[in-house]
Amino acid sequence: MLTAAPMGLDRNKVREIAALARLALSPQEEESLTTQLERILSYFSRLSEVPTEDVPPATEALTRSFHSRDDAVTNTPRVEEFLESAPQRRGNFFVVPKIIE
Amino acid sequence: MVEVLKLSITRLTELLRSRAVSAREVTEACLKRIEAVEPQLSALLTICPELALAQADEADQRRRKGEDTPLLGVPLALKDVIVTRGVRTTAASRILEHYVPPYDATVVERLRAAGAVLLGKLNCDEFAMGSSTENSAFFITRNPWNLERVPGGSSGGSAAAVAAGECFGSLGSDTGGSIRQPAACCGIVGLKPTYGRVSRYGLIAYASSLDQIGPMTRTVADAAVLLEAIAGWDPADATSSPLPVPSYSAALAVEVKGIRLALPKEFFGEGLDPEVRGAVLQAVDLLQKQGALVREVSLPHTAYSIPTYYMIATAEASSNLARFDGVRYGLRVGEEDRVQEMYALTRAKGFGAEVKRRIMLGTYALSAGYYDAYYLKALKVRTLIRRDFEAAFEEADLVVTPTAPTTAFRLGEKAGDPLQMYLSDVYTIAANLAGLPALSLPCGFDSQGLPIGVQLIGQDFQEQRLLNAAHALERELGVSERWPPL
Repeated sequence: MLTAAPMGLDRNKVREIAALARLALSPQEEESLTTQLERILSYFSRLSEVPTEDVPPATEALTRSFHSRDDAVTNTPRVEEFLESAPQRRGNFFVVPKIIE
Repeated sequence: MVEVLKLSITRLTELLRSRAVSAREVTEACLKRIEAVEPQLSALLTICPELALAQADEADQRRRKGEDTPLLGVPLALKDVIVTRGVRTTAASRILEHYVPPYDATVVERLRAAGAVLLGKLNCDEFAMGSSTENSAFFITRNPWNLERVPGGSSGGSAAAVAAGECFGSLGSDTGGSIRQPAACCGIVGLKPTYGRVSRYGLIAYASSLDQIGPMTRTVADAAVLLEAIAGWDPADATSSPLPVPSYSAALAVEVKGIRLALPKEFFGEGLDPEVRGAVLQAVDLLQKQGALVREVSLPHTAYSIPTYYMIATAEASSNLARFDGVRYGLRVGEEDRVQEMYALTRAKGFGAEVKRRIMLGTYALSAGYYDAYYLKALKVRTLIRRDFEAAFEEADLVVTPTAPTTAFRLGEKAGDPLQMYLSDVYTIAANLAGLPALSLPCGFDSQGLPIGVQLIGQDFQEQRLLNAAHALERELGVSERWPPL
């Protein structure tokens, strides 16, 4: 059903994707990424040539040995050690900037 | 170079066992070598001499008490995407520049249990994204065979350090060729195991359905020793396999007669350097003379493997790297802003250009309106690539290809062109997409004295067969006897 991959990557699209990806891009980065991604995606659009009707996506093929385990806690809490890496902490909490006004 | 540094792990272990050398002596020799060559090579992001010497002394003590474990006193170094408790682990990224993990990766626990000594952490492309190690946020690593050339990537530090005799072996990670391509560039052995053979717990994730940790060594026997030390089921990685781990090193044998080799014609076409082609075909000839059966096959979806790989890998990366948000560990920028801005500023400052590019590509591939055309399409083509190999393996035991289309390229040569850089993974990514084990073995040198690698790809969990064929070839070629001029 798909004949060609949708293109149309412009500066606005790049901004939209950057917002989704939580990346603050500089105007220069926006510009170079627009060109680079356009070029990469146009090369990648050759995927649309491959007939894939009735072909299942490879989601399970490679998890042949998938197994589940008991939902049990096996590690001992090491709160102090984990909080040592925190950019900012207060007591036993990670501190983040204001989320809502 | 001190002679002891040229020993294989196998030979070193014999000497340690007979107490002809001590772990302290060899560790000191490695640290001296590191001090001497690092100013030119820059393979290590973190060197831990105190820890290494303490571990070496402990190994010597245990040895004196009559203890013996497979790697007791063997100095190794690890790619810096493998977390080490108490030793800084950066993934070659600013965002983790000062990160000291509170836990060990499963492979690190296993190496410690086997008695290995940790010399330090090796440079790589940031978050293992790249093919030249030029994407490290800290510095470039040079190729010990020619300092103006890249060591390959992303495990370029691992390959350079092993080739230059800074350590006896290392671990790398391979998502699209990141063990095998640098191994080829630096003239060493690199093995990407079957997906699920080695636990990924504690590997800083790039693309979880493709990532595998594997050994990088100077001989095939050494790769066998390291693989058996790190492989096996791990409850902390749900994709790790419960299949028992064979004793690869004990079962290592020259086994070539009657082995069926397949040469995929798509891997010998346009873009392949003639000298690389010549060396690989010569290696095939040597195997044939020993009784291997050779036939040409077709892997018809090869031309689609690069877009398939980059769609899947970047989609998974965009999700995996969402965890770097400045909240729990790592860099934080924009403390005084609101939390959303803090995330975006932290990631803008903390990630390098290639990482941003891949996050953007992956976010795009997964976003509404594009998911079916790119991501889902790539997953379907991945099935077809896997099926190509299944068909080839109906009539063959191993697939033989070049590891990379050229020998090590010049520093800076592809740095400005992301697509050209992506194309250098053309021969290695199929094994990741299909989940198959693959090994790169040095098979010669080009006219400029740069190493050439031949790649063997095997069936699921047939690492032994790969190692045996490589072992046979290694003996015939004698390439691993040569040392870089550094």
